[in-house]
Order: sequence, then C-alpha cells, then structure tokens
Amino acid sequence: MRGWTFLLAGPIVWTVQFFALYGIASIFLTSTTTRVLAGLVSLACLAAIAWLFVHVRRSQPVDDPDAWMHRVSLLGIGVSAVAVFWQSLPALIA
Amino acid sequence: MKSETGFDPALYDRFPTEGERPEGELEELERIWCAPKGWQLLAAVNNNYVGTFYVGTAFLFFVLAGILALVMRVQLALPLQGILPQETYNQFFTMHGTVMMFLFAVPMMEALGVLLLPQMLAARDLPFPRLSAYAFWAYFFGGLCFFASIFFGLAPNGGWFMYPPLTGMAYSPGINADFWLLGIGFIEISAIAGAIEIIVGVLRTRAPGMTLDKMPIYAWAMLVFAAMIVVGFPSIILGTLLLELERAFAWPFFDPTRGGDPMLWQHLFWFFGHPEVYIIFLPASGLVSMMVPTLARTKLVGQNLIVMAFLATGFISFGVWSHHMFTTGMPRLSIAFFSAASMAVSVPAGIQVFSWISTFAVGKPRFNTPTLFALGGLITFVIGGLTGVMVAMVPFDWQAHDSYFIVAHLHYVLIGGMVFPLFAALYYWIPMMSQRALSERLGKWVFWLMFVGMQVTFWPMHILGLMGMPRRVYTYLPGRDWDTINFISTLGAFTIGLGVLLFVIDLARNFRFTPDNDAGNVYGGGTLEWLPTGLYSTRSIPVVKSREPLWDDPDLAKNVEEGRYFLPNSATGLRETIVTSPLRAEPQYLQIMPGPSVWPLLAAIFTAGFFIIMTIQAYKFSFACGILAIVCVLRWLWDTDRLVKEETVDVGAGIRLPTYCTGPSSHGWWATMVLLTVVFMIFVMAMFSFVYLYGVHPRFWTAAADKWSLLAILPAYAAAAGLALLSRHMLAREKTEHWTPGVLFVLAVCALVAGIGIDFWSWLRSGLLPTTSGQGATVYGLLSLESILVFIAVLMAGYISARNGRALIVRPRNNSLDLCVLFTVYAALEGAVTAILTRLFPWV
Amino acid sequence: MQPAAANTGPGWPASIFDPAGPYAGSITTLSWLLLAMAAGVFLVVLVALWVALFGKHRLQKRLGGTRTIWIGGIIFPVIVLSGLLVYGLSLTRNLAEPVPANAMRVRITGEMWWWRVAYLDARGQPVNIDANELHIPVGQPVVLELESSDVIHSFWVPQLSGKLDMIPGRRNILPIQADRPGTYGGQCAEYCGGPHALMGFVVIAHEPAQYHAIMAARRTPRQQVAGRGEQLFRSTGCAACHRIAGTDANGIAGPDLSHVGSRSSLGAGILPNNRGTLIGWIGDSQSIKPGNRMPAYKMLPAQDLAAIATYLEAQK
Repeated sequence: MRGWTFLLAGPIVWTVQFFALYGIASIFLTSTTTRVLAGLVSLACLAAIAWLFVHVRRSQPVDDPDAWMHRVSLLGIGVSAVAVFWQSLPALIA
Repeated sequence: MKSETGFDPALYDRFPTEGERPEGELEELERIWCAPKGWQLLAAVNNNYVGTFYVGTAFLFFVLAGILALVMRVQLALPLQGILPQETYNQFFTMHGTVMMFLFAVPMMEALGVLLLPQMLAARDLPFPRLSAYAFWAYFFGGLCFFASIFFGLAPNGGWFMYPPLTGMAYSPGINADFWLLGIGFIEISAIAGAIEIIVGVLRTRAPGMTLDKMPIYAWAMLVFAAMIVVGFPSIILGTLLLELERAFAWPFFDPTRGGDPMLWQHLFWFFGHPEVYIIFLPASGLVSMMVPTLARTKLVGQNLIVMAFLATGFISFGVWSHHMFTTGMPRLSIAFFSAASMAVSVPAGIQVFSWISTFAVGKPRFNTPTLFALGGLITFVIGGLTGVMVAMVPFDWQAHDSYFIVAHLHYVLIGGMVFPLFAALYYWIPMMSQRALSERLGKWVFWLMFVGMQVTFWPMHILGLMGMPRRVYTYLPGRDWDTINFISTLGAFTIGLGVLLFVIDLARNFRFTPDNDAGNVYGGGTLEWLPTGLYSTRSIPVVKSREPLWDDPDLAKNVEEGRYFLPNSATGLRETIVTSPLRAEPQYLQIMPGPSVWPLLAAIFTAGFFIIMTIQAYKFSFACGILAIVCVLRWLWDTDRLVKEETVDVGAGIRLPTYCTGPSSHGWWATMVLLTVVFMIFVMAMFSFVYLYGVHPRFWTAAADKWSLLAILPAYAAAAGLALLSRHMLAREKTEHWTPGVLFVLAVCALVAGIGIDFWSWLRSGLLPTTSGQGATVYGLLSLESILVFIAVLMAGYISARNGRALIVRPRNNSLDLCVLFTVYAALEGAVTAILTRLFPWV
Repeated sequence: MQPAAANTGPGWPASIFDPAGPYAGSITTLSWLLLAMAAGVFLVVLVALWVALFGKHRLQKRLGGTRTIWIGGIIFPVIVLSGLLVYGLSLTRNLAEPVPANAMRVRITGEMWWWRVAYLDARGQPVNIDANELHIPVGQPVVLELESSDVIHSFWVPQLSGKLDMIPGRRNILPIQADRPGTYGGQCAEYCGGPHALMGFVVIAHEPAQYHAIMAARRTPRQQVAGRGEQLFRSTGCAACHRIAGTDANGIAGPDLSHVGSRSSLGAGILPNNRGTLIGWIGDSQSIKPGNRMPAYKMLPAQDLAAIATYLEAQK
C-alpha cells in the first residue's frame, strides 16, 4: 500500500483539491466565500505537494525497482504541482 | 534486491535449468489446454480464442457503424436532400455514436487486452477465463440484438448522450430509448467484467521477476484503463438505471416540475463520458508505445514519463466532465475550475507525443504499414489535441460547442488517438495469431486512403462549425456557404470507407487463425508475446530481467521452448498459472484454472435475453431468462474453488508453491475488492444524486424521516456484518460443527434482509412515495440499490449452504465463504450509510 | 415542398469570424489567437517529427532523449497553456460581468421546434409577444432570459454571442449586443429531437429610433377587419393554437401570430416570408418541416388558403 500511495501521491493531492473546489463552488456559487475557501484549499494542497516532494526526494531507494517507483512518483508530484497551481488560478482570476 | 513476500529473489538464479525435460510434458500441456473442436468451440475459454472472437466482433461493429456514417454523409452531401428521412437520420446518428463508443471502441480495447495481455505477461491465461468468455458472449448477443433495432425502426433516436427530458416518457414514448438504456446499460456490465479481469491479470499474473518497472508499457496502459472503467462506468450505469426508473415508473429524477433536474443526467453521463475518451485513448497509446520502439529498433525514450502520464491522465480526466456543460449556465467559477483541469489533462498527452517523436529520433524507423499508421495517428491526434485545448477555453467553447467544430475535434482525437493506432496494432500483432502476416503493399494503400480520407472528411468540418453549422442536423438549408464544404467532406468519408474495404480484403486474403503455427515475430519485437506459443501460451514461464527480454537475452526463446523456466509442465494435471505479487511479481501460489464450459455462454445468452426481452415488455419471458442466467452463473461457479490433492507442488527448479490460497492475497479476493469498488462507486453516484437534487430544489424536500427507526436498522446491519465475520472465524476453529459456518452465514443474510425491510417499511409509513418528488425518487433509488445487494447476498446464502452441505466449504479457510462474507459485510455497511444519509441529511 | 434553393432563412451566412457586437467580438479575437497558437504548436510538432524521421544525424541526436520530452512535452506546453489559461479566465470574467440593471430584457422560451419571444418591461412583465424573431436596438446590451417549456434547446446567434442552453426548470441569462444594424441568423444548437435541424431564429438590429418606432406601432391597437380570412382562421381551428392580439384568437400552443405579417421568415427562420411561402406553409407545413406540431391543411381549397394568408399578412 505504501508503495502505491507514494506512486500516486501527486495526482491524489490534485484530486482532493479538485473535488474540494467543485464542492465549494457548487455550494457557494461565484462568491467571495468561494474564492477565500478555494484559496485556502489550494494553499493547503500546494503545501502538501511541497511536503511530498521533499519527503520523496529524501527517501533512499534500495534497488532498481524501488528507484524506478521513486522516480515516477517524483514526476507525478511535479506534474500535479502544475495542475494544482492551475487549479488555483480560477479563484484568483475568473 | 529486497523482497515483497519473503520470496528469495536469489532463487531466480536457478533458471534457466540444466538438463533435458522429461518426455511427454509438452504433450500433456497440449492435451490439457486444447480447445474444444467443432461447434463446441463456443464453449472455449482460452484467451487466444475468446480474444480473437472479441476483436472480430468489435471490428464488425466498427464496420457497421461506419456504414451508418457513410449513409449520413450522403444525406448531408447536399442541402435539403431526402435520402434519409428525419426520423431515420436521427436514429442513424444516435446509433453511429453509441455503437462506435460502446460496441466498438471500449470492447475493442478490452478485446485486445484479452488477446495480448496474457502473452505479454507470459501467463497461461487471464485469471478468470470463464468471466472473459461470459463478458464476450454477453457483448456479442446483446450488441447484435441492440444493433438489429435499427432494422425495425426501433433504434434509439435521442443522441448517444440521451439527454432527458427529450429521452423521457413524455417526449420519447416509444421503446427506442429503452433499447438504449437496457441494451447499453447491460453492455457496460460486460465492460466491467473485462476490467476486473484486466486489473487482476496485470497485477497478479505477471511472469516472475517482472517488477513494476519492467512491466510492458501496454500493461500499464491497460491497468489505468481498467481502473478508469471501474471508477467511471458506475456513473453511467446508475444514470441509465435512474432514467429507466423514471421512464417505467415515473420516479422524477430528471423532471424539474417534481423536484428532479435534467442537469443531473448530464453530470452522471459526462462523469463517465469524458473519462471514456481517455479510456479509449490510453490503451491505444499503450499499443503505440509498444510498437514505436520495435519499429524504430530502439528502447522507448522516457518510459517512466509515459507511465506517469498514464497515471496522471487517469486522475485528471475525472476532473473535466463539465467541459461538456460550459453552455448550460453553470456558475462561472465552477466552469473555470473545469477549464483549468482541461488544460492540465493535455500535459500528459504532450508527454506521450514527444516521447514517441524522441524514440523515432533515436532509432532508425522502418516505414512499414504499422509505422505509417502510428505516424498518421500521431499527427491526427496532435491536431485533435490542439482543438481540444481551444475548446477548453470557455468563451471559445460558447461558440464551438455543439457545432461541427466539435464533430471535427472529436473525430481527430478518436481516429488519431484510437483508430489509426488500432490499425497499426492489427498489422503489427496479427502475425501473432495468423499463419500469414497481412500484406505490406495493400497495407500502405489502406493507410494512405484512410489518412487522406480522414483529413478531407474532418478538417473542413472545423470551418463548418465556425460558420454556424450545428451538430446533429439531418439536413441544412442552402445559401449558408456550407454546401461545398459538406460535399468535400462526403467525398473524404468514402475515401476512408474504401480504405477500410481494402483492409477487409487484406484480412480475407491473409488472415488464417492459428494458436500455435503463427507467422511469428515479423517486426522483431522484444517483449514476451513474441515468444513461441501454443494454446497453453508459452511452454515455460520465464524469469523476467528487463523490459525487452527478447532483445536482451537471445537464448530466452529457446530456453522457454525447452522448458527451462517456471512451470515447464502441468504440476497438477489441470490448467494452472502462477500468481505473483503485485509490485515485484514474486511467485506466490499456483492458481488452478477452469477449463472450457458451456455455462458462461448460456449465462450470457440468458442475461442478454433478460435485458433485451425486457425492452419489448415481455416481462414473463424476461424474468424467466433472468432466473436461467442466475442458474447458469451458479452452475459455472460450482466447479470452481476446489482443492487439489497436492498441497504444494514443484513449479520448476525445486521451487514449491501452494496450490490453494485464501484471504487478502488470493486473486479471488482482489477481484471481489475491485467489484466492490464498482458497487461503491455506483453508491457514491447515487449519494451524489441525492445531495444534488436537494441542492437544486430544496423546496421539494418535505417528507420527514422516521429517525427512530435507525435504532432498529443499524443493529440489524451490525448483526449481519458480525454474523458474517463470525462464520468465517468459526470455520477456522478445529472444533466447529460441520454446519456452523453455513448456518451463521444464512443468519447474517437474514439480518441484512431485516435491515432493508425495516428501512423500506419506515419510509413507506412516512408517506413518501418514489413518485412524489425528487426526494422520494432518490431515497427509494438508494434503497433499491441496497435491495439489489441484499438479493445477491440471499443467492450467496443459498450457494454457501449448498456447498456447505456438499462439504466444499473446507477448513480452515475457504475462498467461497471468504468472498461471500466480504460482500455481506460491504452490503451491511452500504445499508447502514443509506439509512443514516437518507434520514439525517439535511437536518443534521 | 421543401424550401426552395434560394430560401435560406434571413441572416445567413453567419460566421463567428464576422462578429457584430462586443460579446461575439471578443470571442472572435480569442478564436484567432487560439488558431494561431494551434497552428504554431502543430508546426513545432511537425518540424520535430520531420527531424526525428528524416533530419540530419546530428539534429536527431539532439532530439533523441528525455530532454526533448521535458522541453517539448512539459515546459513548452506549461508556458503556453499558463498564458492561455490566464487570458481565457479573465475573458470569461469580462463576458460574464453583470449588464446594467436597466438593460432591455426579453424572455425567449425554447419550444419544440420554435421560439416564444416576450419583450419584458422594467418589472419583468411581458409587454409584447412574438415568435422566432427578435428586434433589438443597436449599441446597447440586451439581456435574454432563456427558458424552455419542453426539452433542452440552445440559443445561438453566432454573430452576436456564444450559445447558451435553455433548460427546463431553469432560467439562463445571456447578454447580446449588436453594434451595427442588420439581420443575424441563428439556430438551435442542442439536439431537441425531430426537426431540430430546422429550428432557426432571426435577430434584427435597428437604429434605436427605428426600433422604438416599431415597438410603438405594435403597442397601438390595430383595426381588425372582419373578412373571410378572419372567419376561416377561426372556423378551421387556427385560433386553438395561435394567438392574435386584439382578437379572440387566444391559443398559446403555437407561435403568436400578432405580428406574423411583419416577420422576415416563416417556420422558425427557415423560409422567407411572402405570400407564396405563407400559403404553402398553411397548406402543408409537414412537407416543409416534417415533424413540426402544426397539422397540414391540405383539405382547404386554394382560395381559402389565400384568404387566410391575406388575413395573416395584415397582422403587422
């Protein structure tokens, strides 16, 4: 389980953020409340991504399969960082 | 090397083994795995046979839906033509979309999975061969009956997206819409069966040593594909169920005058519908990522980036469903979130494209037919992707939405992303199944006709859309500058048709099915499907040490063929394969597999009968078929889950594995968990519907629930879960009476029945009826879902009792009991959540 | 009788590249930008692919490797898409800005397969009812309240704005504006069954003075001439579905005919409105627009059809 969790960590953070934002916008529509809550959620998710990046970066892979998983999860965290960042733009701009 | 299961990886060094294998082993394998002859071939379950039937049927639907498209293009070649009357055209375009999506694209991808995955993973077969056979036959009969509706003018005519209220009883009183809902709803079940098979197959039946990093990229694609089906399809299954309930019994899920909302359907449909596009694209991308390295004669550049791209796509594609709803007037911020996600999902696609380009740059590509199709697909897909970015921009979509621009966009994505890769794959892998490869000379003609035809047909449609031509029109008026463009488009469509015709001719001339005497590794691929095979798959199951074992170990094929690896014989005299651990593919146990059987076929026929006959409202026949289907399924299960006399066997080089495994590491447990995920997702979607309708029309939420009934319902469900677990616990005890586990399990199911019974009774007493309001509809909808689970649990109770009586529930652990307990515990949980949610929301 | 070749419904062609007002105009700008982006990126991919397949060995070497994926597949798209996203989001915001509260409002209701048009006063009460055609003054935003009375339709006049759906049980708000007088064609964009393909719409933009003159004329009570056409209109049952203001014809199932004589089109934007097409439509609308809700009146003799047409032509 631990292996899978880290492999999918980045996209999972994105998923949490996305559905939180969807829920917030569905309840509070286009309002300042939505923007504030969305901003808070986004900040939390960006922080989570940053923590994951540091955490995975520090861990030492023991062999080839491990190193590969390690690399893929880092890449996933990277792409998710972009996605999470984009996801937080609407609350600021739109 | 670290170990996942305690298996010592050093044992791999014993292979390849020395010395000759004893005589007669190969003959025994051939005898055990041989397929039935003659008409009994219908009972075959070997993946090579079922996979080939499956691919063939999916291709048939491609051709049929393509013919519909050609007739539509004739109608649209000139303005105001009368070739297809309005009603017929509306049926044609509905069927074209529906058949292409549900009967061609997804089944074709599953079919290729059934055919290719066991070979690539060097498994003897997929883990549930009878389930594959069932899924195929259900699709075959259901699909053909569904398609036949068009010959009687009964085909659905509400568009493949089936938006209510147009598809509700008021505006579609005929049975056309029911054909869609029941026909497609049921084919989705077959897709889910395939997905379970693929997930367990990829995670648990890989060749020993095939750690996740060495897994073929196609297996990764199929894993994500299947996981997406498990998460995405429940939404449409629930949607079809709700719409059918509204049509048949007037439960107002989508009727705004009684507290429903037509937008609910759009959410449910597109939560499935958009991931669907990636569900189709990912396997095709996996195929291309397998072929490009071979065609360019080098390793895939950025393999880990592609795996990450698949995983990211699998997630992000579930955040884009509302970009089909930008014009519905959703709140501005909501659509902005979907717009951002739609941008994000294009990044993984870009990664894949540049990885292929880079691989071509490293290697020395040969310009044969698969290469041409791969390149043609890449170029076409890039155009589709770019127009996809355009329509992800909300204001542009306000203009482009539901215009011919979208028709162009989606065909670029699907033809470039799936059809061209599919043709490449057919040319590339047919030598694995056929005595002769397809013709290169004809193949190039096929490619150029299809490629040029594709551009000529669909490129002009971008312009048509921007000039204001809406989609789904059976004709158009002259004088709008659309005429010439439409005419060109029609010419292009026939060019594609000609290409496909040539391909069919090529198939007829060169395709000769064979499981063992095939044309072989024509293109020089490096993965395991190119090992010499028979019906038993490979003679022995190799230890995998790299991503392209055939390139890295020139002796591999010979050693495998001489039986110098795992399982060179049949260890138990039955069909069997090695089950390995999910991350590092360490051998765990020997799975005994079922052989040919006519029961999956009969079960499929009766399941199809149940649904199709229900559409024509012959309910007695329909229910008779339903009961027969259940009997057949139980009969096929009856043979499974039996012990063999050897507790452990030698699977080669003195390595011994158990022949029976229970609990969380058994493949049955995994499959059940995947199935429960599907059931759970259906439940999640139902809860979403409940909360959503409250959010839209709170004023219809008038009925107050009897909260005190929770005091009876929750204990009943708790008892059900407790008794079920107790039955499992008692089985493990030495002193337990023979009948104890069976009786406890039956009691558990009785408690379940009590729970749902009290729940129903309490709601009926409150005066709320399903037809009253959106609240009533969703409350009883949730209760109905739970009732289905309870009904299945009742069947399980009967089955467990029968097996208990025949002493088939063996100590200390038994899979049949384990899995039924697992299901019952889940059903109790879902029932409890249902009872709490419907009573305490929104009055907490 | 199908609509003849010359008949296309007024206001076409109606390309999004020929916008007539600010709402459509800013989308046109965005469209050009997006097309340029798409063409540019496509060119980059094609060049990369060309080099990969046929380029000089030295170039191929530079292209082969994960660096290409990082640059071409990640960094480049992220930069381009970030720019686009910011631009797209701010444009969405601008286009969805609330229009002035005193803007003119019209309620348009989608029907299978035509449009009910109600001009609203400041209190939101209908002051003038029409069908399938909308008159607006140029140079000011007009707010459309979009509703549906049966299935989902979508209102789309490409030269004036993007489209917006009409959903039963909901009301959507779409601002449009024309900056130059003219006739702008539109068509239902959401599949609504049957003759969805023939559900057109016409917007006519006038100089404000002219617009007010038209509306004022509509408000003054009209002299109704009792004649053969009027009798037939009642006796053949037309009044059961159609309303004509100031008479006892009060049907509301079909389009309001109070101003049918002044309309530029018939059959919901698919035929030019003249005596011939009017007679043809009354006599056998089913052959012109199969599936529409109006029965064919083939049993009526030609002189009766002509009399009804004369009566309707007078309803300006």
